[in-house]
Amino acid sequence: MRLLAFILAWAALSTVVLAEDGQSPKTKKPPPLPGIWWQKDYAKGMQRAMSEGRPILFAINALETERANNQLAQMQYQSAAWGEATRGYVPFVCNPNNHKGPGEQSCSRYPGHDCAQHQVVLQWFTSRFGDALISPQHVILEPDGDVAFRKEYYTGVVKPALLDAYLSNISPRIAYARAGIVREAQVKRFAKLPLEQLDEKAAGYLSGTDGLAAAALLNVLDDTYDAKRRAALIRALRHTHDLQVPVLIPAAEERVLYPADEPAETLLWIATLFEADRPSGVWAATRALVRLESEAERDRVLRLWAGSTEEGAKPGIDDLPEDERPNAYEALILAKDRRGLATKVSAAWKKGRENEIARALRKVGRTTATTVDLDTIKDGAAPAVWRPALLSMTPEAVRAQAQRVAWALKAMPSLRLRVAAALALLRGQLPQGGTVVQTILAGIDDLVEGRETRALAVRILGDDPGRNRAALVKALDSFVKGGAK
Amino acid sequence: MKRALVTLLAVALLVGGLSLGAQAKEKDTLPVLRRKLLEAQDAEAIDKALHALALKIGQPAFFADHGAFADWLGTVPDGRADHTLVRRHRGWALVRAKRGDEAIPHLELALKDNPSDGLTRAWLADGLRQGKRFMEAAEMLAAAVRCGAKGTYVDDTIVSIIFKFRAEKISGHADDLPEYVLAAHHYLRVKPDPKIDHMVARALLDDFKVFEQPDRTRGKSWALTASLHALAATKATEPLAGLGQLVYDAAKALEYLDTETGGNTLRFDLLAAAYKIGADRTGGPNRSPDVVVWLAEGAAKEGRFELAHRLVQERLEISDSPRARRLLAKLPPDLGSDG
Repeated sequence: MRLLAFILAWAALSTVVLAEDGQSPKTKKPPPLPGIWWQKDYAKGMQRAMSEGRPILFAINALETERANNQLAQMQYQSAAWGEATRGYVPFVCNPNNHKGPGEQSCSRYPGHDCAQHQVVLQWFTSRFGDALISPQHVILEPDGDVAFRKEYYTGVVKPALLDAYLSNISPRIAYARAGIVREAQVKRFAKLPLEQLDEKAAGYLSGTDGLAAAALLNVLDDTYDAKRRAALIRALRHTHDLQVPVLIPAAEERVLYPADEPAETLLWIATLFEADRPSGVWAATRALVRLESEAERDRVLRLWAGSTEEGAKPGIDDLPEDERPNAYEALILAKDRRGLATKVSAAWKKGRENEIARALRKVGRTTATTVDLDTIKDGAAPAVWRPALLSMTPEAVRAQAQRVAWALKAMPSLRLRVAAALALLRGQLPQGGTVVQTILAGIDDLVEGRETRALAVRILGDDPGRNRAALVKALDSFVKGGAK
Repeated sequence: MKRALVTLLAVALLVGGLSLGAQAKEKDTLPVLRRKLLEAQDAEAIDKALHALALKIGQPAFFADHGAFADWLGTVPDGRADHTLVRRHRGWALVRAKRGDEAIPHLELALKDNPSDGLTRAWLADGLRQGKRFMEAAEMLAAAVRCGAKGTYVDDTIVSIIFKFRAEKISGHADDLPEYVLAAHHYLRVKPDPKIDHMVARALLDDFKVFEQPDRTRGKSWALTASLHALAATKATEPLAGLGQLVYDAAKALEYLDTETGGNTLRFDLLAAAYKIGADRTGGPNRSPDVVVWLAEGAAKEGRFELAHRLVQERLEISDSPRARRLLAKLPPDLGSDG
């Protein structure tokens, strides 16, 4: 009897275990294949890439009588190394043939895949890249569809390290997360390295072939709290390969957007980025410059920028590379630095960033109000001409050119231009029979224009009437009719 | 006695009624109606007679169908068959019988007598369409609308003109617009109609396989025109099926073809429309992340850096986007955080 009870209990326990597992031994799914998990649905795959920010890999494998095609299909694509390197991707294979025999569930050439899908994807690929396709071929697209990499034939360039590097380049967040898992051993090793070896070993690692090296070291950095070790790691990241630099940006951004929090680390990041990738260095330096309170702190950034090692030097804009001067000039204006607010500046300092510099000068109140004569602007001129002209008009100018502004309010095809005209008329207190208030409200209700329209209207009103709609309407109506204080 | 009188009266009434009925029946016979048509002295009477005859279409004893009615009108003697009102009715019947080619001369003659007759112009447009003279049909229909023609018949005719024109002939030159588009333009200039804009934009995008053009500079006029119509379609007051996809496709075509000249204003408006269609009003991410970054680029081009920054941030909140990051790096350095 006891034996029977034991058997029953064992059977019941087995049932529970099986139930928890969800599958009977007979129906248990096979373990996932080690190779590439090809995306089965083209449309869903593209949408997934965009919504999750994943790179898209197209493997053109259309010639089955050619050695490289077959080698890729039968070896590389089915290998664990390629499989692991593509887990962050949305991978598609393109092939025009059918490899599924009667009654077979899956494609025999690309295990686990569906032949109809690799045929559909090939059709899409040829429609985008032309019929004269070379196979084998690998193309990596960014999530928004831009081509990041394309290599015809198979010469060994395309390999897991390259796929890892492009993952770092295109999808830094995914690369960072993956490195924490698949480079766990390296992360642990660097976490334990003596301080004096960190720079050398990290430089060696970053200069090697690992496409997730920078992401792995960032994982180390995020678990490092000792200032000296952190400094050594940040310095070492100057050896980061160009392709992997985007992985550094989110970490650097935390510092350069809030430089006062960790001034020393901010400078380290700027120096690292200048060495790893010059444009990223300019990006970091300008962000920090705008936010640093004292001239002495800005001098330190400018010294890094100018490559000056002289302590106490005060580099000017002329000391920077010519093509980077407009960025520095703009940042120094925004920082209200005397070098940015100099009255006489070289035209070369503005080249390529004229609009941005004009905006910066406006923002710090260094532009004299100049009202454009609207009659000099053609009816069909670009919004980039009309809109600033309308928004910069003084009340007197609006009243003097009331007819032209009213025409713009009525005739402009784009909402953003009608809103600009309405805001000008609000400033000029010319209600146009209620059209001004109606147009401003339409702008505020618009998903694209709303926030900016509201801010501009409030600036004209002087007081924010709050979120209450009726109060807003009343305030606009009262102001435009001249009832404002 | 009284009962006998009532019975007699009832019988009299019955006989009288039957006699009147017989008279009425005699009125409706074909010879009677024909005689009335021939004897009618003025336009009003002729028109009335023709309408009475037209009511008999579909009755085998009179006219089996519109074609039979049209043919019969051609046999009316004493020159009456050539009266403009008879020709007008004959033209109408021939159009209804799908014999547009034969209808055209009759309706043209009728129009000479009354050029402002919008309905006759609409019939003529339909006749021209049946005769595969699509461009003239569109012009005539536009003229009909100018003369006051309106309603389902007009709406259906323009749809049919564009549909058949497209099926018959598509311009093979990427930079020359297909003729069905030009035909639609004749009509839309007179009567803006978002449904027609939607139809034209969809057809253009489907006919011009934008992603199959290796040279992005080709086909700009197609993409711009499709986009203009797609944007006009967004003005529809009633929901149009497939509008969201249309606007997205048009925006994508503009983006892919990298249209610059004259396209920037349109591109921004179209992208703004696509952005709004893709927006999740419950606060979720936009369903078209690529549109968000394209619109951000458009805003930056117009010098609207704050808007561009907001949109780039919105795109990056959805997921990684190198394109958004590249734009973000170019934006003024004070944007973001508390700069």
